[in-house]
Amino acid sequence: MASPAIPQFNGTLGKIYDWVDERAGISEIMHELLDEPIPGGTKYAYAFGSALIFIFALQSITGVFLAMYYVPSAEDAHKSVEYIMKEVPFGAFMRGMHHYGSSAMVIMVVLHILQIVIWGAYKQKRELLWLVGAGLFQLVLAFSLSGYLLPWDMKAYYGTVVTVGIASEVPIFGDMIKRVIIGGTEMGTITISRFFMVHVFLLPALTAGGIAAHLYLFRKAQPAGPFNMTEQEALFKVEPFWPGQVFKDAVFSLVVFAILAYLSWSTLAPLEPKADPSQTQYVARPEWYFLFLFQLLKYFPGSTAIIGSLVIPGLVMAIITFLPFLDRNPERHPLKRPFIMLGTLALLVAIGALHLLAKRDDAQNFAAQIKAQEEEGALFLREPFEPKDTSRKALVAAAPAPEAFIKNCAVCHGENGEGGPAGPKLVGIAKKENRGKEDIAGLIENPSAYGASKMPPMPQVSATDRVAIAEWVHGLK
Amino acid sequence: MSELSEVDKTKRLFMGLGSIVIGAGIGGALAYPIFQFAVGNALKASESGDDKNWIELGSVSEFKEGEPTAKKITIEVRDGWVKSSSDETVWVVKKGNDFLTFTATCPHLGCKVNWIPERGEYFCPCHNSAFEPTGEKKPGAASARGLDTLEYRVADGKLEVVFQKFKNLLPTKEVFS
Repeated sequence: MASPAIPQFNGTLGKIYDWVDERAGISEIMHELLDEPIPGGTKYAYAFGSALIFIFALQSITGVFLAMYYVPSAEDAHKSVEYIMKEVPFGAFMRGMHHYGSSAMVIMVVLHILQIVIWGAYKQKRELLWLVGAGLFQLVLAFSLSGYLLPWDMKAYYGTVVTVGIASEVPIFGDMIKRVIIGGTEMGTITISRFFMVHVFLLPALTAGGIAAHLYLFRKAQPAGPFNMTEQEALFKVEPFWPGQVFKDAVFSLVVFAILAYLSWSTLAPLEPKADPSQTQYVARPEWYFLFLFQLLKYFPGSTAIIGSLVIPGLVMAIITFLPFLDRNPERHPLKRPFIMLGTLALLVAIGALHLLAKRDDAQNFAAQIKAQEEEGALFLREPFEPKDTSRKALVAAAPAPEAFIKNCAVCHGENGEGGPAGPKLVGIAKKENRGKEDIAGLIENPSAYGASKMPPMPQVSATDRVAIAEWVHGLK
Repeated sequence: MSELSEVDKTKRLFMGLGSIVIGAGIGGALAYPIFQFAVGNALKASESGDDKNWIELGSVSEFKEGEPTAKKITIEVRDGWVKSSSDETVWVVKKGNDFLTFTATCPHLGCKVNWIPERGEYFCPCHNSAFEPTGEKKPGAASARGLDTLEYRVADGKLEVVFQKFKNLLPTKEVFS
């Protein structure tokens, strides 16, 4: 088989190659995989699909290794992610790659779809290829939704509360669907465990199978080639997949990799404090690429909510999925398909506009709270790692609150320092700056001197009680 | 495709090698962080430092002369992101004013040894290592050394030990930490 993609070896290496080739059929596979003719020649515009496979591989590798430390339970999920971020060598980098990789996946899938739409490359008996692709697109979104919950921090918790809330808007079966998704009526370990299983076993298996089917159907249909050449012209300029297209794909993937590695290295993937269902001030926002959907919900109040949450997105997704059946026009040149091009543009503009409106709305109404949340998240990531103490010593050490605390402080801070409507949580306060035992005792007497200007001074608490309270509060974990 | 010009051949070679170099480069750039991540903190020295952590076994008067007694102790272990408690057994034998304090872990491959009063020996059921009441290994034992003794002291009439783990298999006792 004379093929430029098949390596030619001489001497002993050649003999070894021949021996293996006769048994494993390497040459045949290489020929099938690499000598695929590309009508019209190789192009960077065709690199998005390969880049998607590359990012999927990156996500799989980083994901598999993250699972080495991650524990899917309400008790441990957040702590194990914090451990990855703060204690495991290259943990922040690995989670960063996975975190930013998920955004890269969504961006790339959109670019891939846009390229196919602009090129009209879904036409001419490519319906099945497109359908499998649409399925893969939805799997990418499912990956994103299921992975979002796993760190079990504030944004994971509230983001998922909203998502399952939307699922419950489905008529008749809504509540049932919601219960099945979260595994009962309360979000907790069972919920995390389901999302974890879906995220790391079910979706990867479906995606791998989907990619295989997509590639097979792609090879079967053959590349569509440029939209501005006739089939004869394109065949005249044919180039094989190897090495021209492989090289372009590799260069493009390298750029993607470099950007992801730089981001992971320079900017910590966010991790907020552990999910706290009692927190009432938290402003929950989805991941940036779902922000437009979130904005859409605002325009459909009350009983019309389902229009914004399920009907419109569902219709758009249905149109995308069945595009090759809806658009039977064989013309491929984008300028001769004004309806499809303008429709695509309108969709992109609508998504962009909704995104900007969501941003503007947040900047006008929630800027302070969102900034405070970001700062709290950043502070949390800077705090030194404190292991979860389940030792018997710690159980013994958890002494009851002193009487003076119950009398003077518990009204606002809660009986166990867990925080209340008027006072912040005191548990773990010793980890914050300037909150030693003496600082706490001093703060009780003169809060504003210690930056707690919202708290009233407590002159009625005696010096001895102040020390006792400070001692106890400082030990709260 | 059979008649490639020299220019095309060079270009193809460049692109082919370029693809391989990029692939290898990305693989290499990922391999190091992944390796470090996977090893994790497994090779990090434990945090306890040089401070001896004395664990109380009970009042000196509890122990009967020459009779091996199993004492359960609770040690603090750091298990990844969790600080937790774990139970271990220490064998204690009173010898006049002195004590023999052994860890119950067999120095061979780490199973637990039990005291068999009828035979007057400590016995490890995994690979039939038997040890004298003094802790020395009996002939034919799979273990390369006798039972590992733990440092002890008597403070305020209480017997205390420092619990440690030791390396397997070696003929001499070496701390594993």
